[in-house]
Amino acid sequence: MSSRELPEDLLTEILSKLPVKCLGRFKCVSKSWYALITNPNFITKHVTWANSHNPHRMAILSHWNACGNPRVSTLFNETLQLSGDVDLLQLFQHQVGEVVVVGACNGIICLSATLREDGKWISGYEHLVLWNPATRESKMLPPIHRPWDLPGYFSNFGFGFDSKTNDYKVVRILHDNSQSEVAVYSLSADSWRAIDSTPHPSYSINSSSFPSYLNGAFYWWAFDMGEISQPFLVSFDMSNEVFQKVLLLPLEASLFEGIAVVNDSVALILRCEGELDYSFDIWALNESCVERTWTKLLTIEPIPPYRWDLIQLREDGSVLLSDPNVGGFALYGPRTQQMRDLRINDSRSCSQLISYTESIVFLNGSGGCA
Amino acid sequence: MSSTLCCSFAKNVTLRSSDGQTFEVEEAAAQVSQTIKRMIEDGCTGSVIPVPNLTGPVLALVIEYFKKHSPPSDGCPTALLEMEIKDWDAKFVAVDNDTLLDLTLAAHYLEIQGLLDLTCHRVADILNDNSVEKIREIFHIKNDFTPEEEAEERSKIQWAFE
Repeated sequence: MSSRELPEDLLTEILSKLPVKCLGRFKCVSKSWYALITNPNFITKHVTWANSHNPHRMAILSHWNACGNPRVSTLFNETLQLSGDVDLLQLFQHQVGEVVVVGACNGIICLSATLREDGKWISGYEHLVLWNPATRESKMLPPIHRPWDLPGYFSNFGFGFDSKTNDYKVVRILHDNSQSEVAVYSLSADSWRAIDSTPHPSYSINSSSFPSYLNGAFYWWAFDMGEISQPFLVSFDMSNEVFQKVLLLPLEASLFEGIAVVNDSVALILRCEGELDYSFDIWALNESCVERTWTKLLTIEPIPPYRWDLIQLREDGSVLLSDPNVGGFALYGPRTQQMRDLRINDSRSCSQLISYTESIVFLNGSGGCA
Repeated sequence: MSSTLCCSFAKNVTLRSSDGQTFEVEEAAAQVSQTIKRMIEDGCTGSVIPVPNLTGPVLALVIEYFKKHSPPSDGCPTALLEMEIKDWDAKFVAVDNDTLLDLTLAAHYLEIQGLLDLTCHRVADILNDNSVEKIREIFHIKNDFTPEEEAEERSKIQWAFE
């Protein structure tokens, strides 16, 4: 009978294509299955397969409820049906004021929040959490000081994976008018450290509401305060920990709305103002080792009767829009010009929707669920 | 099913299972297995090729697979043929769990990539659909957790049992 036992390499191959929920359950089959499923090489194999096949796509929605409290929900990415709500109090172990999704990478979501106590904001520190919605495991990052008392200070975050050291990293750029300071959090070390590489102090860096992480680099958009210039991109390489400036195409009379990652390309979102409405132009960056070129992906014509906010550029070419005045959101097909209303109970307005693939990446040491 | 060849001497090889049963099969068909292909290239033809990891009934099934998947003598497979093979494949692995495991191990040992993909896919479906207890039964796995250890682990991953 025991001769039917599958060899480990074969079992690895089979298990690496299973959904996270199955794998969680199968940790209880036997000690050898437990060891296999919690092995870092297996986890990497599972993540790699899931990222290239996208079998279990979910989405995370950051929105506000009718009482004006922040709410974070998970949705099924394809149907955008509600899957569940996140217990923010448990995640941050505090009442939160505002939640921002910094990024998503390999099934891990990085959230930042301002904390409240008795209705008042707690300032002075920035609070971040790494969270795996599939396994419900989370990790609060050591708080990092934010000099609120010094006016003009501003920080930007990025989140991603360093494939060279197999580590997850959060980067914070803190800057005022004349200087910037960069700190990197590493999950394996569970601590922040300052690094020497900084973007040029004259850069004014802006976070996009669409977290832009692609192939080991996080992107922000920026402009140079020292000169009247076009906006450009600033990237941070998670492995080498260096910043790079990426020039954009010459912009015409349109407004720069932000950047995003769409179907494995960094995309530029431009807003073209009409008299009563506006349209969006989306451009994609094609990067080869020789040159960078920009291709126009699509135009989103003005959509009556509202002035919509753009919430997500989706992988299937549709876009998620939110009405900032009335609340609620809608899925829109720019090519078919068809609009589908999506309503979530007790949701007033939404600010971010980020799709991710479920993974079994552990946040608290190998195999640990503590 | 194999077409009559114009030259009547299509080369055959003989395969012998662990329990001593022998099977004659066309050399071209047997080469669907990379392991057997290497043995033939190393000059094993003429004598009997031993397949010590497979019992007679399993080897008989694998030979059925060889015959269905041997390269067509008249060029490229047509789309229709491909569809027919796909149907045949699906029926071929719709077997009891023990036979499925035997076929998986055979495909692994004999390096038959097509059959390995097919059986692994089927095994994955079975894994997906069954409880921990059932998985232990199907795969003949001994639960080496103490009841306390198992209860503790289960309490940590309640989400997986919802």
